[in-house]
Amino acid sequence: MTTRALLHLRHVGNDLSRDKGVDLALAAVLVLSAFLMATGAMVMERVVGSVDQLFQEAQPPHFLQMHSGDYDPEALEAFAARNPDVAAWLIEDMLGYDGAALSWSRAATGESGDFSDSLIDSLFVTQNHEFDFLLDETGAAPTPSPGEVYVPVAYQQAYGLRAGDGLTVATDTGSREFRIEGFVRDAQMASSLSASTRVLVSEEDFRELGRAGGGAPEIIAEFRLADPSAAAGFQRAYEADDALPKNGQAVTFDMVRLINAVSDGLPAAALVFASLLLIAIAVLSVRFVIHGTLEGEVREIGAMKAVGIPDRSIMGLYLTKHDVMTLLACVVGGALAVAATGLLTRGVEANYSQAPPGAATVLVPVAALVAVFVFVMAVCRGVLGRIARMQVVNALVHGSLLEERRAARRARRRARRLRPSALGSRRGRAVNTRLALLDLRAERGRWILLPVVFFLAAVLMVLPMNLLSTFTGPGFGTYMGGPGQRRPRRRALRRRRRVRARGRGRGDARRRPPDGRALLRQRADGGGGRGGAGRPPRRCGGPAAGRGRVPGGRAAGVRGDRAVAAERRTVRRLRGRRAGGGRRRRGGPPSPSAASTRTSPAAAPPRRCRGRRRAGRTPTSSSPTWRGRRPPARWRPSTGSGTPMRR
Amino acid sequence: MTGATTAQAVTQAPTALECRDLAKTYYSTDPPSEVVSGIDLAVRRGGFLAVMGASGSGKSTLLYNLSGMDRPTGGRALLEGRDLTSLGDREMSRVRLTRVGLVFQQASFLRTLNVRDNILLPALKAASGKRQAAEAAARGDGLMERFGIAHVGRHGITQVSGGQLQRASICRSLACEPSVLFADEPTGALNSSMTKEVMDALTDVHAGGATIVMVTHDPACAARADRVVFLRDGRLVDSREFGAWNEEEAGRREDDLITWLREQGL
Ligand SMILES: Nc1ncnc2c1ncn2[C@@H]1O[C@H](COP(=O)(O)OP(=O)(O)OP(=O)(O)O)[C@@H](O)[C@H]1O
Ligand SMILES: [Mg+2]
Repeated sequence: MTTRALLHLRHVGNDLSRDKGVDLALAAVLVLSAFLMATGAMVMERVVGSVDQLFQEAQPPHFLQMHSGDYDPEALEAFAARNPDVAAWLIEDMLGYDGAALSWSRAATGESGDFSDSLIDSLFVTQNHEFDFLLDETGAAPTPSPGEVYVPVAYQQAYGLRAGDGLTVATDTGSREFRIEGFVRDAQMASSLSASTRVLVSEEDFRELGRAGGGAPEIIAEFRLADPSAAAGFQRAYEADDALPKNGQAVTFDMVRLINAVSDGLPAAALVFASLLLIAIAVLSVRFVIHGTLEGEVREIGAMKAVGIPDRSIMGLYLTKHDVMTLLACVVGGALAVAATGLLTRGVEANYSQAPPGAATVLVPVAALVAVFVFVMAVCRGVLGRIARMQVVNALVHGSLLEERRAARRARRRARRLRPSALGSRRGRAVNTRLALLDLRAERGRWILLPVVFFLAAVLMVLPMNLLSTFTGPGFGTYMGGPGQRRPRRRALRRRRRVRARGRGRGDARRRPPDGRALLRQRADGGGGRGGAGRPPRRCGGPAAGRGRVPGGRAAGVRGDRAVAAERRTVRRLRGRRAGGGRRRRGGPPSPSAASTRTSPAAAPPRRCRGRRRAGRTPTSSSPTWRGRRPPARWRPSTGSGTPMRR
Repeated sequence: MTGATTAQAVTQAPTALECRDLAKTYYSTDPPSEVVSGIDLAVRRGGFLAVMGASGSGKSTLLYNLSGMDRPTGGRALLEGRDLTSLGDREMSRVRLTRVGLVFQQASFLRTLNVRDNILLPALKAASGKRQAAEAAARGDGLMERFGIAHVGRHGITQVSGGQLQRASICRSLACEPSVLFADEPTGALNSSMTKEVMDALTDVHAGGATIVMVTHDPACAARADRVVFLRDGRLVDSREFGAWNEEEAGRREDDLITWLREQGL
């Protein structure tokens, strides 16, 4: 090491040991800012990574339309066949239950509880076989046996459920018991902003529940596109077709992703925000400290300048300390952040998926820390820039940091100000008070730091809280164009039940065949599903119809056009048989033939056709008519709260 | 002394330092104050010039403008034939580092470094390589030895006397091997015994061949110079030449100076 470097080091060492208190405080603030910044960055990266990972495994639809009420499967079929972007599509049947309809119990300990405090709707579904899977913790898509149920990890976390617990569903015709077999992650509805979540049961149980009544039947028409980026155009095409079901939310892949990232990235964003404020405080303090040093050592600096030591070298003497301090703070903060991120992302990784660490896992927090470092350094350099600007004689002789012109301006201003406040002009009364006030005014550059830091600290506490409550407020998701409100839906559900009770046994004209009319189209070019070959084809008009179905999934991907055409014909034929031919009349009673071929719940719950009243067209949340009004009530998924459950 | 004799002196020996019609006006005051003006001066190499005058007469201002610490607002200042007024800030700083030595009334040192490090700091900054740095360090150590402060080299700035500090200041300025050493009241803050220490050191430096320009109020100090100029209201009004310094003449030269200063109205 050179003599010069040694000398430099000795300077830094002595400099550090001179002002231990100040330096420690400064270091603490710097460490904290670096820590929060790195943690925020890491959590964000983890959230995005986990969401992406889950999306890769679960293959959620690129476009989905929720719907309640009657619809025309033919129209969907025709639309899908017509649209070249569709790689695969399906209709998922769901039975929605209010939290109050569900309860859990643990036989071993006698513990039990219900979900009535949950703002989240439970949608009972069966496992998809093509895409949009519900995944267990291993990443597999479980298919429950009769009597088994897989509940969302959100419930697991909120209620402390365990495999083996009992789940009871209150239906219109008594309660049904299930055994919780495991927990599933839901790419579509994993977001903590989502107001509904899917519960997995077996096909048999699903039909049984449908017959039992009490659940609100709903569907999701899901599409996977060959080119996911075409989702927006696809949505326009879908909305332009009047024949398609639209009584509910339409959501694109990107929207789901965004909602997921926003809802679970929110704490991370709050951390980053807090760290930004802390950095502001740190930078103010650093400025203050450096200023203090400069002011205390003007003459020494002046002497060094006079002797001809280059400004850069003088700055270097003062910079090294802060360089080292900031660097250490970034390293320590980063190390702490690694530990904290592990804790913070546990929930995210349960809800989504554990993304394998990639280059971004390291680069993102490092980039954040480098940004902190560079910023603090830039500020230090900015303050120390005064060394270059100060004049030798002014500094050395007058002890003034200012360059000549500024010094002159200040001197004139001071002279003007001092004249009327001269001590003599007040007949010696309260001289001390006047001196104190003059001192305060002269030194305002020093003490002003305190209120400013207090102010920033207050903002630091208040703003993230408000930000969070804004994001998690019931209106936010709607505003974002995401899924709608939650509470109206619950009201609608209750209302619907009342209507249903009245209508029962009267052969409700609005009754609709609620069978497993789910169908799947798998294009030859798509191969979106993976449930194909090995597994039994999923509900395609029920077991009876299922026999005639061609397996989808990858098998479909390799089939030729002719096979596809044949399949298409089969499906059409099946549908014809099932629905009693042609286009089903909206709200019309099921034809006897359809009832016999369908393996649907026999006592299908009637549905109100909301679509009719709304002229078949529900404004989506992104349309401005939504804002501030009650959204199309029964459709969901909706923003409930930032946390999955609200107790 | 008149301008003609000054010019004569300049032609007699190689000039280390020269200024022509030098003026400095401070514009920060209202109205602007012309502190020095019309200064013509030349110091030959190896000369020892003392600048005297009443308080506020512009002695320090003249020194700052001659040494490149400040920029004159009129005229020119030349150091070894190089016009300082034409240099940029950075070049000026470089000239001060390598060609000029400065000693002030109040020695200003970094409290974070010990005496030796403070002395070596500019020399090490001026050195361009490892070998030069080592040479500078050796030179610094030699100077400390010569001025009797080697034993306090490891002391902190607050642990040495004012005289030692001022001698350290001289070491610092000499460590860079300047062509001219400027000193502004180097003994102004010292008691008489310390003053003698410091003046002995400066005389020693001069005897070694250095060019010195020193501002002082003290006739005893000024008596060590081979030439004394007198400033009044920012103008050079008179000058007096002495022969080379020797210890025996000290008393006579001082009395001589005092009489001269009385004539100048001090
Ligand atoms: N920065 C400045 N702005 C305005 N006027 C100044 C400035 N610096 C010095 N002066 C004025 O210039 C004049 C000469 O100052 P200078 O310091 O050169 O005097 P001096 O001869 O060194 O006095 P002393 O013997 O007390 O040190 C003084 O009247 C002083 O008020
Ligand atoms: Mg002076």
